[in-house]
Amino acid sequence: MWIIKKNIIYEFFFKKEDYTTIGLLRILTAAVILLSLINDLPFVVDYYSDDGVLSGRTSMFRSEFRFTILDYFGSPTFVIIFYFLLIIFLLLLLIGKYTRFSAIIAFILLSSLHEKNTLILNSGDTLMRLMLFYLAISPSGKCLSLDAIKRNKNIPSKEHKKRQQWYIWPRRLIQIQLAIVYIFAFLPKTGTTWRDGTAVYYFLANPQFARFNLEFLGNYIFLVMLMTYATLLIELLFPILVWFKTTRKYMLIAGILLHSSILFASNITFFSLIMIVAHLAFIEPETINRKLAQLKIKLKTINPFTTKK
Amino acid sequence: MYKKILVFIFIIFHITSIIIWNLNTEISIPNKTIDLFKPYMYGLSLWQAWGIFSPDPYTKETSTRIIIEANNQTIPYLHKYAKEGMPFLFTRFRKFNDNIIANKDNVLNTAYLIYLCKEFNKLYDPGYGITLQIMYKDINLPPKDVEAKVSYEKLGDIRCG
Repeated sequence: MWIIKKNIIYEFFFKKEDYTTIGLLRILTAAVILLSLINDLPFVVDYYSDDGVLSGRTSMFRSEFRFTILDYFGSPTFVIIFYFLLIIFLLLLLIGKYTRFSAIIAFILLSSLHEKNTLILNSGDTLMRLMLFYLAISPSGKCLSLDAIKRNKNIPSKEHKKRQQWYIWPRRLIQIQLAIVYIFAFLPKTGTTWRDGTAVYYFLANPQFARFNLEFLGNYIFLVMLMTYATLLIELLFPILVWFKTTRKYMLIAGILLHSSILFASNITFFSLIMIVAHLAFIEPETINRKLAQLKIKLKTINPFTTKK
Repeated sequence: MYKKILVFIFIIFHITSIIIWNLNTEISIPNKTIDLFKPYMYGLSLWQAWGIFSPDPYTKETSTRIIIEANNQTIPYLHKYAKEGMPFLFTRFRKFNDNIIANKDNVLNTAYLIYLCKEFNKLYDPGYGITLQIMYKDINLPPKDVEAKVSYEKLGDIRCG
């Protein structure tokens, strides 16, 4: 007990902090998952029902310990109802109503949906599921939620701050998860194209991925090499330097820039979006509170209905 | 305090699980060790893999090609997916396409062919045939003096209706 209490590890995981960062992560994660679900809406039956692309043989492509409710109720009607239920719980999570319960149910439903057809999933889906898991194990409704407004209704404002605080460990788990994403994205990139600096060209010149025709970039091989090596450098340095206060800002900018350019140039839309959201886990709640206060003031000055005293 | 110790044990277990899980894709970890984490990682849907575009991005453009034989005519659906004109950019059929090509699994191909039958039953009279092919097209670095090589491979076929 003494060891845990006194050392740095205790502070690292059990320091209490304002839950604004987690609140913001909750809102943005729910928003990205909702966007992805809305995007899939025309093909729900094709993707997940027994009448879909796997013709009901989904369990054959899953290993032990894996389970989905949709194995037992795979009819198109049930899948559609299930899908809309997931959308409802994500909306509740986004606005922060019955937050913890909504997060747990949304996580179970999303996992079940993913387990029904793993052959259409990408890394973005994995990260969405993991983010929901971290939100489900944390009191993510402590800040920026309807639950928090209701809880603080008849309580003096001095007490609000105390009620918005909890342990930092759920945010630490998200940070560690993001660092792991970077490490294990970097390590297997051992192929010839990564070494000779042409990897990014093959990615951008492939119509399977490219949002626009970017084949012309092959004529500027120096630029291609720069992009390839910059990708490797960011993936290598991010998980190390993001933990130091002096370098964190630059690493976050680099990481967000990398994923924004992937979002812009390729159709890997939702992976890029959820990765950008996950980076926010490294922003201190004080910074977000400051920005939110500034935004509030700005909105007040813009609002034409505000009366000047 | 005991609550905190329990949380701490959970944190350590969780971090160890995801590190071991991901390391397994890099170095071969004994099956017995991986088996320890399987109930946790699979049971809670925490399984993950981040080897995006590795060891190399595809150096070939690959897609599945659907060929219909109906009314003594061969109709190639050059587009990768069952539904003609399906928007390529935002659907998950690209990933499914990748998995069909990567797995080359008979059960998977048959399941997909059955689905295709259902889709095309609306368009063709019973008795028509569907062949599933992979199309490979090389991606060449400039200067492109040679035409990109295109090749095909048959994955399976079915007679519908």
